[in-house]
Amino acid sequence: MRRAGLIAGTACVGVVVVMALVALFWTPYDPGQVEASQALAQPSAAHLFGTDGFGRDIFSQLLVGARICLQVGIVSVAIGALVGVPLGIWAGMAPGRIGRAIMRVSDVLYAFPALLLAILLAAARGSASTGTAMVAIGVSTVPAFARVAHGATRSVMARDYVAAARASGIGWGGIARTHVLVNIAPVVLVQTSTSFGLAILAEAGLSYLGIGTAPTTPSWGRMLYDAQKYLYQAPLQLLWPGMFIAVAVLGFNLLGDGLRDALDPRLRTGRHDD
Amino acid sequence: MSESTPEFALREVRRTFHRRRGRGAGTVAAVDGVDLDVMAGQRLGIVGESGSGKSTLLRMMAAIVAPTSGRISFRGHRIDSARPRDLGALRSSVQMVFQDPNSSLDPRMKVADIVTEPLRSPLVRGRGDAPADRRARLVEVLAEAELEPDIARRYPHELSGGQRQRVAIARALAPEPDVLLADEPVSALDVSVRAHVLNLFVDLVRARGLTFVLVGHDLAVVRHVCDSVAVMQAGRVVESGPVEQVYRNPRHDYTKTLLASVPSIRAHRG
Amino acid sequence: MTELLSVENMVVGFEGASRPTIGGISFTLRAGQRLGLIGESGSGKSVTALALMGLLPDTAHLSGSVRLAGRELVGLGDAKMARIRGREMSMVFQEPMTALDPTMRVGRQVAEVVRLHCARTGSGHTRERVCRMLEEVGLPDAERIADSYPFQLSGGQRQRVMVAMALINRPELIICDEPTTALDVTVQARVLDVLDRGLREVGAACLFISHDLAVVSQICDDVIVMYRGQIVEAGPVAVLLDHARHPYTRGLVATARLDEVAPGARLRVIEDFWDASQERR
Repeated sequence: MRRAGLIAGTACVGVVVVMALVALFWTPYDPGQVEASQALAQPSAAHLFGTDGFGRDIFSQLLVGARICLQVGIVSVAIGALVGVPLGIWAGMAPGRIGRAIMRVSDVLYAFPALLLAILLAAARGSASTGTAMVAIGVSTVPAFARVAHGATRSVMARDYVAAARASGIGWGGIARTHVLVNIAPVVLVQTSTSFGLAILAEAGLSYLGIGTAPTTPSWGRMLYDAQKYLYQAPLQLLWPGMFIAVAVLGFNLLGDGLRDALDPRLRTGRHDD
Repeated sequence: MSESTPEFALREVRRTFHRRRGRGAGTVAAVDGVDLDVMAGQRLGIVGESGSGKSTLLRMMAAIVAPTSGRISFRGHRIDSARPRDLGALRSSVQMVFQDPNSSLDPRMKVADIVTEPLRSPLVRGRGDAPADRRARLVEVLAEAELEPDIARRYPHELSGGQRQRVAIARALAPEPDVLLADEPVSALDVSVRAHVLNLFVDLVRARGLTFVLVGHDLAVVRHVCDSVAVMQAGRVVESGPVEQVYRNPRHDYTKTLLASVPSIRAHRG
Repeated sequence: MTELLSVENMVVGFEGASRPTIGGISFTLRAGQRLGLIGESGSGKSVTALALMGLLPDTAHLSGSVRLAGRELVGLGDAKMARIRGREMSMVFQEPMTALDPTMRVGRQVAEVVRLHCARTGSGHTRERVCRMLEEVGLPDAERIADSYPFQLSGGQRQRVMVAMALINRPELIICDEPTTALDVTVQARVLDVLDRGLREVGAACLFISHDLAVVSQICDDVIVMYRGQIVEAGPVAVLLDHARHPYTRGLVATARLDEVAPGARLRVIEDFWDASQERR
C-alpha cells in the first residue's frame, strides 16, 4: 500500500516535470500566438486540447504552464524552507524565552494570508508578476516550516542521544547537524511536498485573481480565469488546467507521504519486533 | 592529583523544575540539597525510586542539567556555572550510559558513527592522549563491549536490546574516560541480558580502574557492582555508606522498604 | 479440575516473516490457576497474549485452537470477541500510559468497561462500584483518582487503575503482559501485592507474562518457558527452580538469582547452560 502511494505520486509529479522539460525546447505552437479564426476550436489532430477564446493552442499553454507551476513551487518552497526550518530548529534548541519568542513571531506571520502579502507586494512593486506571487507564497509558508521543524526538534532534543552527545562535549552546532537535521528531515520533507502542492494551488489562485502571473504568460490559474468566460461554449477548456492543477497537488502530497515511509530506516527493513 | 581532592564534590545542590500542568503545578524540587563526594576509583550506587531525583543528580554531574543552586566541582573546578567550552576536563574524562538504548542511540545513525561520536567532540580531541585513529578505536571498543565487528554497519533497530546497550557502553568507552556515569543501565533489559551487561560493567570498571557512578532502583544490582551507596528519597540523600553495610544493616526505613521490594524467587506462594 | 483455557497447536505467523513467530504451542489453564509465561524478548510471549485476546494486527495469521470455557475463540468474529474481552477475560498491559486514553478521566474509563458489559446499571451505581474497585487496588483516595487524567497519575497509580479495569467485571481469566516491567522495584512490589489479592478476591485465573522469573514466582504456582516461539519446558515453579530438564531453563533460573552470587563475582549467563547456535538450523 505504501509503495502504491509513492508510485502514484511519482507518476503525477513526473507528468508535470516532463511537461515542463518539453516546454523548454518545444511546444506545438507559440503559446501566445493569437489566431482569431481558430478561436474555441474543439480538440483535433492540429490542436490536441483545442484552442482558447483568442485561438491560442491550449496544449502549448499547458506545457508552458507546467514550467511556471514548478518554478513557483520550487522558489516559494525554497524560501519557506530555507527561512522556516533554521528558525524552527533554533527555536526548538534554544531554551525557554528565546524559543518561545521566535515561535510567537512566526505565529503572527501565520495570520497573514498569502493573498494579502501578494497584494501588498504587487502594490509596492507597482505590478503583479510571477515573482511577487512566489515571494508572497514563500513568505507565507515560512511559519508552517518553522512550526513543523520546531515541534520535531523539540522531540529530538528530549532524546537521550542528544544528552549523550552533550555529555561528550559535542556543541550545539554539531548536535543540530548530526542529530537534529537528520531526524527532522522526514517531517520537513513531507512538509516540503505538501507546501509544494499548496504553493501551486496558491499561485493558481493568485493568477486567477489577477495578482499573480501576468496575462501574457500562460499559468494554469490564469488559464482557468480566461476559460470561465466560455464555461457554456467550451467547458473542456476549464477542465484541462483544473485537472493538471489537481494532478500536481495530489502528486506532491502522495510523494511526500511515500518518501517519509521510504526514508525511515525502521520501516525499510520491515522487521517485526516482539 | 592529591588523594584528598574528590573527583566530584557536590555541596547543597538543588534543582527545581516548573510544572505547568497537573496537580502540584508550580515549582517542584527534584534534588533538594544534596552533599556528596565521589573519590577517584570509587564505585558509587545512587538508589531510589522514580521521582527521587537520582537521575537529575547524575545529569547535573554530567553538566547536562544545571543546578538551580549549590556547587558542583569536578577535580576542584566548578562545573555548575561553567561555559560549555570550559568543561573540557569534564567532557574529555567523563562519559555516560543511559537507561533506554532506544532513546540514547540515534535511530538514523549507524553503529560505527554512534560509537565514534565522542571522538569527534572538540573537547575530547583537545585532550592530548585521546585516541586519534577513530576506525582502530571503533574496532577496539566493539571488542571490549563483546560485540561483533560487523555490527558497525548496522542501525540500532537491527540489534537486540542487549546489543544496543553494549553499543551505548562502547560509545562511552571510546574516548577512554576515567569516570563512567550510568543511569539505570540495566532496567530496560531482560533479566537474562542483565547478567551479561552487569558482567561487562564489572570487568570494565575493574580492568580500567574507572570511577563509576551507577543510578538504579534495584539495590541488588547496585550491591553487585558498587562498593558504596547513597539512598535518595524525595530529592535528599537519606542514607549512605559502604554497600555491604547498608545492604545488611539498613538504618533508614526507606532503605528497608527498598530492600524488601527487591523480588526474589519464591518457590511457594504464601 | 475444569479446564478454563485450552490452547492447542497454536501457530501465529506474520506477513513477510520466513518462520512463524509462534510455532505450534499447547497448554491448558484451570479455573483459578495462575500460570507464568516466561521468556526473553522475541520469544513470542507477548504475541501469545495478543493472540489469546484476539488483538493481533491484520498482518498476523492465527491457526490452531484456543478454547475458553469450552468455546472456540479462533475464527470468532470481532464483535463476538469484543463481548468476551473485558467480561470473561481481560488484560493488563505493560505500559499503562499507552493503554489508557489520555483525554478521558480514569474513572470514566473504568466505568466504561462496566457499562459495556452490564447495560442495566445506573450511572450513580457504576460510579460507586468504580470507586470501590479503585480502593481495592490500593488507591484510597478513589474519588480524586477517578476524576484525574492519566498524566496526572504516577506510573504505579496508572498500573493500579489498569488492574482495577481488568478486575472490575470479575472475569474468569486475566492476562498480564509484563505488568510491572516499567515500574520501580518498590512500586512493583506494591502492584504485585494488589494483583495477588485482587486475583484471590475475584477468584480469577491468571496468565502472567514476564521475562523475570523472580517476579513470576511472586504470583504464580506454575510456569511455562518459551523460547523462539516454542514451549521448551513447563511445570511448577518449585520443580523448575531445582530440577529443570531443559538447559535453557536452567540458564534462565541462574540469571534470575542475583542474590546467590557474591558481589562483583561473575554472573552466570544463559550461554553457560545453553548454546543458542544448536537451535539455529
